[in-house]
Amino acid sequence: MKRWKIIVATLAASASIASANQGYDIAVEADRRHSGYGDSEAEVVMTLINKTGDEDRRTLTVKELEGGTATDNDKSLMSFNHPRDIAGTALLTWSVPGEDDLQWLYLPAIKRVKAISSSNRSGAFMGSEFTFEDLSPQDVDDYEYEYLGEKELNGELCFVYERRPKDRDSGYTKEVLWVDQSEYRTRQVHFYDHKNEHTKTLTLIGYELYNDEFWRPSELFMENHETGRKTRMAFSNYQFGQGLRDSDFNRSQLRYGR
Amino acid sequence: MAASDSKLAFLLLLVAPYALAVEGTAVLTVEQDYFFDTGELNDWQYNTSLVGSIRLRDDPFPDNSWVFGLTGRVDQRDSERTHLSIDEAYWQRWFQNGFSGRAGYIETFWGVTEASNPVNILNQSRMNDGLDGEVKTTQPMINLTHDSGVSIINLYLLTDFQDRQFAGKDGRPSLPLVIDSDEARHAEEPGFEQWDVAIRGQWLLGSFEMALSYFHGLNREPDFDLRISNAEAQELATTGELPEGNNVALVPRYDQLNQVGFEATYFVGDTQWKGEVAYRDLPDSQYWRGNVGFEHGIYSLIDTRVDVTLYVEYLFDTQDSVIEPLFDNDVFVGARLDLNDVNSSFIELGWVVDADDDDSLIDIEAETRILENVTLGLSGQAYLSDGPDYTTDSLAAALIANNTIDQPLALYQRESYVTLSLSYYW
Repeated sequence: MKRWKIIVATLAASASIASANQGYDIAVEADRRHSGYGDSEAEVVMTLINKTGDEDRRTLTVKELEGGTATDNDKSLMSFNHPRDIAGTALLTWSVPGEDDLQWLYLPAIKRVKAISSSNRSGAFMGSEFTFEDLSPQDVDDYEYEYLGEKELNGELCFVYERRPKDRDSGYTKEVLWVDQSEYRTRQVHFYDHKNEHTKTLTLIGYELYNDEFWRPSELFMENHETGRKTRMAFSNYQFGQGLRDSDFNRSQLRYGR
Repeated sequence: MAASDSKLAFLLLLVAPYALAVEGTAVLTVEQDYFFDTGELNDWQYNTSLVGSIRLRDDPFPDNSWVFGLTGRVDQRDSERTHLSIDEAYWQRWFQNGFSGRAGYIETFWGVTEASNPVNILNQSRMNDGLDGEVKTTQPMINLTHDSGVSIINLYLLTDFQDRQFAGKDGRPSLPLVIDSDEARHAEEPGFEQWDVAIRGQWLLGSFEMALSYFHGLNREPDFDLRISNAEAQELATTGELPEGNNVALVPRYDQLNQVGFEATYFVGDTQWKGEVAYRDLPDSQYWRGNVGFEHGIYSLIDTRVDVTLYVEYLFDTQDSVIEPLFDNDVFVGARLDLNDVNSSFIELGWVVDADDDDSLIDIEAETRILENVTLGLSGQAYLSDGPDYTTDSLAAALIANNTIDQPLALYQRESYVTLSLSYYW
């Protein structure tokens, strides 16, 4: 087992040398600027919009904890509040570098904490146009990169690069990202499905600066070009570094719903 | 009177500052049951009931929180199903280094499998809310927890005992014989000397999770003694029928139990292997009961949004009893379809087949949201058996003769039902 891990590590190292291109460097810099917040908490309102414009609303709280070192897990806890019939349902994720994430779902009706497979990456999240993959923590080394050039998007000069997921469970063959040159904020993403068709577009809107350090979008807008459906995720009450502990992301916390 | 009013006012004043912070949820459900046949004890086929519950929670001080919930049901037919009871109601306190404690009325869940959970023992079942026993009553207890992240140790001191709830003589689904819970006998009367205890440890090793548990106390699942007078037995023996207005019933008996439980799950990609086994030691019998199998996920089925989860489990129970256990050598096959639509619709279908006699139980559950705060649900169970169609008389005669009832599902074959439910959430 140990030997196997060393082989994988060697492979990963050579992979990152091979992809040591400008696209990879931009992703690393964007990741560096995004990290270091320690922990965060935000309220999310998710609006599902169908072809005819009908809207459905979901609200949830998202807590995140950054792993301190490379071997520590990043952890996240999503608690649902609306619609009321799923209030109290919670999803706990521990990301494990280089391996499948560990995930548990809390079912409040029977007080059950159920381990679930994290390979459901391409599945729809809560009936929205986002998949679990879109909302999971993303490691720079989970992709291969290709730099495509620079382009202007809504008056901002952006780096444009392509990344291809290494994970076979991914729902995408590639993603094209627009990252602004001033602050390395992702502005737009085009998603390509397994037929290599551009099926979804994500737009990140209303970036605000928190703690003089962290840029976060106030809205994610995902359009599905195949179905005509859209999902808007609006973030509010962002809080960073409020001292959340590892124990706030334990399985036994799920039952308390706090 | 005035004194208690002022006490109440003082109490309200005390809680007023928190009142705004308290989070609450509530649900009101109308249930309509339909039974496909008339039963042996009851010939009605339709039943309506109204169920309401409320749950409040708050964090009054740092590292302290409480939960308070009530559930009530009004049942058209069965007075024993009509109740108002405390749901979860407890205070909890977090300490340093992963320790926490809570005390009050608590519901816990142990287990990993789907068809049933042999190790799940702390909370009593409401069999009048479904024969699968999934609906539980809350258990008064003191629960200490240490959670290090990868390992969890729970200690439980269970400070009271609750009898299992069965359909009353006017309720369904029921056995062909009345269960007289009022006369239930306990190995020791519940009291301070008779606090039950339990411990459970859980360990996480990558994608392998396991748990070990031990329970010592009164068995949650009673055995039954047949209550019949000599005169009644004599008449049954000579005429084959019990006298009118007889007092024959099954009387629950709760014995002392030691149970050791083991649970494990292991992920291989989209497949989760899992199993749970309990060794149960009672005064008259020792036996094993368990479920082993797997769960397999198929996501975004054929490019749709539909997720399918398939379940296969083998159920065993080595208990040697007059009425054989329901799942003693059975295979469970099930599927859950999550449509991933805006209405969070799902359908669950399960089929348990007895490998010895081909008797089977079909379970269905489906739900969809029809308005923002309203869900519509359908649930039901069908009991399919080619065994004898027992009457009260023939079941009593079989039990007196100590004949083994090796097709237990036959006892329920006229009790198959579906329930349609409409719920409003706040």
